[in-house]
Amino acid sequence: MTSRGRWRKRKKKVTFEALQTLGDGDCMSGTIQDAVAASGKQVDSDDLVNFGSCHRDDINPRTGPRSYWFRFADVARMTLPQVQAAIGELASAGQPGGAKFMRVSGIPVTAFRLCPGGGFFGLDEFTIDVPVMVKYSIEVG
Amino acid sequence: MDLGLHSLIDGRRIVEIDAAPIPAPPNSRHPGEHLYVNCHYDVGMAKIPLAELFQVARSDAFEVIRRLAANPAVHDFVSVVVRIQGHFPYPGAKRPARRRIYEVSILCTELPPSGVPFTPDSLTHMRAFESTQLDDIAQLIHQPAT
Repeated sequence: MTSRGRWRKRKKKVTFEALQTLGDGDCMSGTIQDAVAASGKQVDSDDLVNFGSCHRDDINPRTGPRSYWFRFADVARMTLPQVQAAIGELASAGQPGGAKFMRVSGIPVTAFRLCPGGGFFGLDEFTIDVPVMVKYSIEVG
Repeated sequence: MDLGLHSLIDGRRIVEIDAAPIPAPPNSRHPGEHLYVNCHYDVGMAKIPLAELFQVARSDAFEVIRRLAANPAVHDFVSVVVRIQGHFPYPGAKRPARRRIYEVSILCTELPPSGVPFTPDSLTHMRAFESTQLDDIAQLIHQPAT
């Protein structure tokens, strides 16, 4: 049996959110694939996706910090909390909503630079130095 | 599952720790569930020289590994991935940019026995991966990486 947990301490306040067993908890039941299906949008396995706090029409690394992209097939079976744990929540030190939207790249994967996933997990990352037109922004959280 | 990490949160350096079991991507050479632990540093840590920040992060990650190894349930995962995440202010951006100061990944079959200190030397005796985004951080904050 596995479970997940999150501990937070803000100034003097410490909270512990009860762990929910995978498969039992409502918050763990919806995968990214489920959210995409509910949106009615078509996302292909090799589409690259990026997570953030808001809808975006484009993501320009020249006007902000570099973004990291992931192959949709690699994250499709994950729940949002799992995505947040695997890619690191984008929000500032636990600020909620940092991965509320999944942006789908409108340009081909070949335009990106592949950073092969290290370790035993094997999640590939992709980066790019030119602006990326976003095909869809899908609310996943 | 109590991973025994709560007491590491001091509100000044480490402000949050989240943990989750995650299924490996479809093409992973190590299918199954991996345990991800993310330790988030306070944004104030971004002021520390990068070389020093790296050493502090590595030390924190080793302590996390030591505590995880003491939990028998953790050994059921394929691997543990411990990441020390920094949050670096970026001019014009609403939120700081998140970057990995240090990451270590270890197969659970090779975790040290409970109570045994985990040190840099321990890594030389096991299959483990270390990585960082220090170069990216240096570029972000215009500070030398080493």
